Amino acid sequence: MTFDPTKPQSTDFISDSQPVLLSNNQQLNTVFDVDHLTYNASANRGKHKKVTLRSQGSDSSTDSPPTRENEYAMFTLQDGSDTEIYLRGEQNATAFQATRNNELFMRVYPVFAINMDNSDASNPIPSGSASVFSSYNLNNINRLSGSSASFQFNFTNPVLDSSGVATNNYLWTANCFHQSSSNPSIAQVPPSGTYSTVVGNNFIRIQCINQNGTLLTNIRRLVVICWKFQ
Amino acid sequence: MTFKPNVPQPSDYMSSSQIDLLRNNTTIEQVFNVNHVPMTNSLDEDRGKHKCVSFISQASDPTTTTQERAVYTKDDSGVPNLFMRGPSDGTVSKLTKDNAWMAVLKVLAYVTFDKNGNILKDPYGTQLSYNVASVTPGAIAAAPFRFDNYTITYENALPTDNYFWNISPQFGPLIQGNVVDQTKPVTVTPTVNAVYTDSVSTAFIKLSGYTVSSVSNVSIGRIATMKVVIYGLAT
Repeated sequence: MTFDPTKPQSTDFISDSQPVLLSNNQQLNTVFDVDHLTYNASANRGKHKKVTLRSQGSDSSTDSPPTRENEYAMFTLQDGSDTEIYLRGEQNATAFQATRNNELFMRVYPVFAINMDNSDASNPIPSGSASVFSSYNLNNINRLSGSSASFQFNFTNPVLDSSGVATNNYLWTANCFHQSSSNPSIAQVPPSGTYSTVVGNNFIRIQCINQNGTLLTNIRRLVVICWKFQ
Repeated sequence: MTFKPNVPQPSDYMSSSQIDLLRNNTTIEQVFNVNHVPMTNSLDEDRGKHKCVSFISQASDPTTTTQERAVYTKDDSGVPNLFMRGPSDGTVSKLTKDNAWMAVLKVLAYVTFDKNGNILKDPYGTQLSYNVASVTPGAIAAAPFRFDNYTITYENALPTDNYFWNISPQFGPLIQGNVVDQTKPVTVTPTVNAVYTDSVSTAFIKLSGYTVSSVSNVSIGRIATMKVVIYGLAT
């Protein structure tokens, strides 16, 4: 069933146009129903059930739809083999990618985070431990040096690059809160001759030391965030 | 007004169908106009575009075929949130939560300030802060190792004190005694306190700079600028 926008012509007999008019009406109803509340919906007619965006091409510089003043466009383009959402501001502004690999495209994306203290003496420390106050993508924690604040954080899911390959090329920040000493406390990835022994695609090691390089024990909070480039 | 998709029938007289066709056209126009620029818009190039997209919550995830992505809303524990689904019935991802983009971490507060606690501005005059009411410098500590104390007070209380902080200080020269010393490493952390919430709370965070030195003599240093970002889990 196809929609024929050219019917009826002025010279057509209604009896000839009738089937086309009928078909057109049915097409309007069916096609509109794909993404919208139908014409006969009991409420919210004309609003959207969903917006299904068909890919417009693969080159954002040539395939992005034009935009005029005071309008904003949302559409999809191919990013490799993936269909991703793009946005374009008014007056043909530079289009930018809004999603990648089923995530919002933020350029830098957190892959691990934890806020914990050093009160749980277990080894490993489970992710549900009372000493873990907030976390993301945490599987469990290995203690690396007795009761000192020296840990290996094991991720639930490995860090992946944009091609879906596990990688240890990510960013991290670490900081700690000390309870009872006037000494400075530093949270850092432990020194190592080999990067991959302290920063892995599914773990990271963090230690808390004082100004003399001595491992600390009375760390009341350790905060670590790991980020990847999308 | 009801849309009648099954008119006209072959046996219908035009005089009978005319009113149905007219009403159908009226219904199409009214319903289409809800979210779309009207078909009768004076500018041809605007017709069919969207004025807005109002999503009605769906009971289940829609299907998708190759080379398409769907955006829709779905009930999320009693609240409709925006979702998307990748091609070929691909991964479903939540896009919004609590009236914001659904990132793993959301920014709860941030601020850039100078050594006197003044919140800095960008070249366009916009204050470089979010949800920060003030930055109050404390007395320069003459205690061993510690210098420069700041209390960052939030405009609106944070939902929890179990948040994440990212501190990026930039230091001016340290002054050890009467000697300017830039060789000692320095760090900034929440101020040492017996009680966590005396330094890290839903209302504020207190930060102090520390000289990292094996010599515990008095070191007085100055933070030139500092950037602090506070994150919370979005889930």
